[in-house]
Amino acid sequence: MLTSFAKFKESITKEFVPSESQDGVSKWLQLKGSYFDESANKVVEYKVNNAVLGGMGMLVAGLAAGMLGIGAGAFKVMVHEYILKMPPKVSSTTSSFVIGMTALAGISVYLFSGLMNLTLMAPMAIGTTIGAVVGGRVLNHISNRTLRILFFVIVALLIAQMLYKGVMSL
Amino acid sequence: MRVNKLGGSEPKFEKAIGYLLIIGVIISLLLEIVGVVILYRSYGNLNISQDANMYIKGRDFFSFIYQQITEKHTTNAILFMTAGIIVLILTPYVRVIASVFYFAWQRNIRYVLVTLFVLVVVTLSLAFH
Repeated sequence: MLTSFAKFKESITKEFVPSESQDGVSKWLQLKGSYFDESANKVVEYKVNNAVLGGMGMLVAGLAAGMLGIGAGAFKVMVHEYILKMPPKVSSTTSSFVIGMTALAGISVYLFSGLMNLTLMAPMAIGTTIGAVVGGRVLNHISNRTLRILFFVIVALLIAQMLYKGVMSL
Repeated sequence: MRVNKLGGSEPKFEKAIGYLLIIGVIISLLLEIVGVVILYRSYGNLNISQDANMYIKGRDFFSFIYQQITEKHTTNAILFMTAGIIVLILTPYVRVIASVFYFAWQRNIRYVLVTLFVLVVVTLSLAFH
């Protein structure tokens, strides 16, 4: 989570600049795209870079997600933005989708362990699904800078909560 | 056909995949809400229960689905909440299967192979613990 703050100042002061060039593997994988940014009222085109290094980063994120159950969203967003050079909004939406796939990959192990409690899972599923639907609608209407500030605030709160829990359980 | 803001037309197949995800999420959400409402009516609260019936268990995901179809559930709340979780888990899986067909329809062999690889990995992880 601390890696999220690696380029904190740069993230909130500078606007996203799409990469002009692309490495061979990313080009072969056709990793480029475009979306209409509602807040900026323009089409943003982007090219993804460093696919191999990004893939390795995702392997680490997957390991963390599988072992800790945290979804590793914060780490994935950093890999998307700083290594793969994705725009923040593309990074957030991609991360949300990939979290679903990460959860799929681990589900049989969790089922076998018998640690999944329905009375905990059901309200969480309702809350996160409604939140994700609303968040997905709001995302394209806010600026990249606001999105990044929100991201840093939430990661900071998560760090504080984990530290608090860790200290209190001693 | 709907025209998107990039000026291009949105392929029907792509729209269908989008609807597939939305339908899966809505069905799952409704099942979970019904389950939680029944749970609240039965127990009078929504506290996290340590009752053994509230813990779901299975050899793997596919045998867990089979087990849910063949076994009798102790309460309707468990039935609905479990069904909601199953639909929620199956939604992205079905989306990957649909993506294989989507890329095949687009004749994008490269991405058919990439998506097939993801499908195999995910299927294996669902079939074995």
